[in-house]
Amino acid sequence: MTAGARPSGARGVHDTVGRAWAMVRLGAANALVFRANVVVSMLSVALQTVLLVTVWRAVYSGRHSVAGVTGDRAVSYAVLGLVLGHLALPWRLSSLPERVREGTVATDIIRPVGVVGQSLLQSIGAAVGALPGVATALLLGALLGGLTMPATVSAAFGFMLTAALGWLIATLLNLMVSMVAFWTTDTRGPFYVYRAVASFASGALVPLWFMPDWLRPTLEALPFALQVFAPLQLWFSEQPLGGVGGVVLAQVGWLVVAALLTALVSWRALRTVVINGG
Amino acid sequence: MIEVDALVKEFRTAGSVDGRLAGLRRLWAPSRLVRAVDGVSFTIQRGEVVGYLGANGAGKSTTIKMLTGIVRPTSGTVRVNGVVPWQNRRAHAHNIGVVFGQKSQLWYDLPLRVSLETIRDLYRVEDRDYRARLAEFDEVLGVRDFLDTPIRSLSLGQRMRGDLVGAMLYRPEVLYLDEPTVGLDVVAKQALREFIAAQNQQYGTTVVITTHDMDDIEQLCRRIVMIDHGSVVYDGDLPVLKKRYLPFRDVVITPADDSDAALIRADHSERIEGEDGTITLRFDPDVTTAPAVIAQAASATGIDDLKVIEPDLEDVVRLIYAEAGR
Repeated sequence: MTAGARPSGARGVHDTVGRAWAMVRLGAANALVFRANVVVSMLSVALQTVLLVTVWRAVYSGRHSVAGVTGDRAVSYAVLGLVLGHLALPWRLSSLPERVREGTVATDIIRPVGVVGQSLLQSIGAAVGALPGVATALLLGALLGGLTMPATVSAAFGFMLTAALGWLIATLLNLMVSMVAFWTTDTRGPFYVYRAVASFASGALVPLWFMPDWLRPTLEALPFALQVFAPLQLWFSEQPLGGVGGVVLAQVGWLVVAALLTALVSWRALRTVVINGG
Repeated sequence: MIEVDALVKEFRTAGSVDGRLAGLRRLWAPSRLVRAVDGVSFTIQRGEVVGYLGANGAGKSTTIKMLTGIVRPTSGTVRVNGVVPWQNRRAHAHNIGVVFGQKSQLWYDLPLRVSLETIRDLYRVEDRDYRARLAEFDEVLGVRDFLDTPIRSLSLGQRMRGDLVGAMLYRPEVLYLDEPTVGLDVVAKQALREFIAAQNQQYGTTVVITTHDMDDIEQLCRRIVMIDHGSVVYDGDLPVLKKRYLPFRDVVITPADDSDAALIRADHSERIEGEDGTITLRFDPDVTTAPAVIAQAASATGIDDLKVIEPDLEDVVRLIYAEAGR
């Protein structure tokens, strides 16, 4: 191929898929490179699972339901919410801030895949690193009797589909927030605020069923509820936004908004980028 | 191949604040406009090896960042193989390979092999070509021994060799090297230089190199572009530059007997007495030759030792920076 020439048709698609797969593989390899991290992550999730099951059981001791939510459902929600939160908000939102700080983002900018594409595809691959934690939470939750299965196959399907889309929204938002690194060297403050808002508003910490009436509509209007709360409502055979179709429509809408915002932020970032170091 | 016209890059940096409560006052101090590159123009033909020189902060790396498309210029134009780098980064990516001495394009925690395979897949290099090129590069750079070592565990010399392989794996037409030999030992430096020279000779790769190591320049470059305070102060052949700034050669003679030192002299040469008892005969090679100077000096008295000193590029650079007021 002549340098700079762009292959067309099937070859072009094949090349694009090949590049994307290379980035996904890289993200997975980076996520699994330190076995100690994987083990610590599993232990942390295991501890959280045990604590959540214990605390929610204690909350419900002597009570059948709170705000119309049964104890079994609350415990099950807590375990599944932990799983979805673990996937949506990984320890490292993206490798981008680190690379901007070190100046190595310079080498990302001159790759044949855009910086946003590289980061997004690597984040998708990095989700592999969260899977041992997910398996631990589900296994332990089931052993402790803290998991109830969906009532129907369609509820399970709806959950799977919307959980996947919700995770994609979270990954895009994580990336967008990570790009603050192009403007501020220390990203800890913005990340702390984002994590607090995202984990609370998604329902990963406390189900939105228990939110006061004045607050719940606001939280449900944000994209975070579509990452954890809405998929779990479908798991429990509730019909948020009219059912699976409504949730998917809302998620696709937010995906478009998040993609446009990410494109806009990255466009601004790459116009003003200053590379640290010589 | 590379056309640069009136390139300018300005940055805003935090304003300087000293004294009491400087940390607090810095929060609202007005920013300062810095012009890092100021109207740089040059053209580089296909297959040239050009040294892009300048003191620290002269604007070399900023220029490289604009040529590679990493940074957008404030004004001016760049075309590399007809492509404006920052406007079409993806098309441009296949044209160029880049090695930064101070930052690696390889993935820090993963083995070199994983980085190279990722680059292979990103640039769509056929596996057969990948293996052939790796074998070819290994002959000069010897990378096979540490292919399975994580980048973070490599020595600087190994890491640079890995970076160079990564940059050339997809056979780009232009190779940018930003201080590639900084911190390397002489063996590693030599391996890198041999590799770069071989790529240029065998494949016509155009090379632009910034460095503070004048041996890199002397061994690799015929042409140099020198920049100072963001502007080009010299663009031309290396021998011409040396001739312009240091037109003389020196023959340094240690006489066998100190009392005969006064006899050492030669036609068309300036005689300089050293504090250590040596006599330097400085001559213009266009007027006379070193053998003639030596023969005449040796005919007058016995000589213990002599050496001919060629102009040193570092001296040339020092003179240019001094002229520019550094």
